[in-house]
Amino acid sequence: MIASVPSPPLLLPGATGGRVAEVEQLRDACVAAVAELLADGPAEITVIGAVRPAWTGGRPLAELVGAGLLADAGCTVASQFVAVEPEAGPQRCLQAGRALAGRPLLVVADGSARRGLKAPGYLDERAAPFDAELLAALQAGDPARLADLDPDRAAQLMVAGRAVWQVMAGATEGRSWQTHTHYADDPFGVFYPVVSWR
Amino acid sequence: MLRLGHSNFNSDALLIMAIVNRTPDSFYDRGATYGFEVALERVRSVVAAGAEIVDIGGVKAAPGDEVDVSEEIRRTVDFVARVRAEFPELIISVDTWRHEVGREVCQAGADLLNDAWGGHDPELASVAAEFDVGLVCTHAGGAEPRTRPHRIHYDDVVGTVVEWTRAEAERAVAAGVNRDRVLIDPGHDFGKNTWHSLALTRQLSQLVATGWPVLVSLSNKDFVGEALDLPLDERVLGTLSATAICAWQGAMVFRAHNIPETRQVLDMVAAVRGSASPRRVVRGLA
Repeated sequence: MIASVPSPPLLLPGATGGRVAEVEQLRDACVAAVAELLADGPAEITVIGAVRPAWTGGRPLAELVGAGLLADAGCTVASQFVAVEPEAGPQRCLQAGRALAGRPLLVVADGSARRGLKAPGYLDERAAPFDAELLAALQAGDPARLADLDPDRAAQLMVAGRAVWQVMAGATEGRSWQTHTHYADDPFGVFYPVVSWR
Repeated sequence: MLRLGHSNFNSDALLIMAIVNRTPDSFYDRGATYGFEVALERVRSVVAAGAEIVDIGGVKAAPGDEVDVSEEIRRTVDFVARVRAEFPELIISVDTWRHEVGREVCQAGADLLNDAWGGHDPELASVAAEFDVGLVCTHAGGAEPRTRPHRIHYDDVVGTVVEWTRAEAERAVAAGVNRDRVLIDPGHDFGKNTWHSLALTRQLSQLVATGWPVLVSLSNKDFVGEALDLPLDERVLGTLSATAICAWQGAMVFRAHNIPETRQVLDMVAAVRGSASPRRVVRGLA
């Protein structure tokens, strides 16, 4: 059982000041995905996410967002964070992922940050097709398609989650998965897919 | 803590007291809300724009046609009762120096007596005590109500105002006014020239340091006009600048004509000083 969620700092407690509807909608979707992950009653959750950027206390942002969503979903079991080097090549990622096969995973990974004129990385016309392929791979439950994401193109398009998804591909390869899409939108110019694999 | 009506406020609250004149001749609105129904519309509009308090006045501050007690009562009392009926929780202040008027408006439901002429009628405090309502103790330099300052000198205007308002607040408490319902007001332009009002604005923190909640009445006044050499209808930005400066130094209540603008300034001050959350933070955090 896998849940993939994004890691905008907007999801950290109190980050938006007042309530921001778009953020709460995203948070609800993420919590729903985490709740599905927890529904099987796992003994422990493994959270995988990029080691950078570091955030409060020097801890990876992905770790903090993952912990916050687990708490929001009422998680009472232990979690372990596995840090992924965001520049690691696909083979290294797949290999790292294989060591995690069979574990319940909370994957913390984001799509392109170049999806519009107001996006953090401005508009790159290649972002939408790249994210479309990424979302298709997630929705198909097909680890091989995640493994095929192009690291150079992903870096150009500010796809922060490419390496993390390829670790997920290593952990899930060799079978097909049923999927449930909770959310797939870019309210702030960054692509946030929220998808469960079972 | 400040208690007004049924409400309690911490010292970081920033409250708007919206001016509602039932006068045919007040300086800024020039009689626009003299009529009962238009004044009531004004109340509805300022409440919708975020005012916590309305300050109902029946006599303009500057010299002009005589308004005796019975005429002031005619202009204010029924109106207070009507506002009270429509807005049970709204804090109703009445701008008067006369205890006879104070008594009638308290019976009609007022929560606060705004004694802008600085204790000219000492009986007003007794009325506030009797009805357990609030009292604004304003420094007006001993001026007769409805007079203009003329050749007034202070060796130390801020020190004088601090000592006077502090003493007046204690006098109100001694007269039986609830200590949590007393505010002080330095009385910008009342018995003061522009130099005095600017100094009080600059050093407002000294009034705040007395521990009494501070009300400031800055709105479109002559000290703003003279500071900028601008006529009455061009003083809003100057007023709002002074509002921010006073809020930053700890003033709690702002008597104002321009309510949406004042609300925005006070909300911004609250966000900057961290006493209120910014409303929508997303930049750089997507």
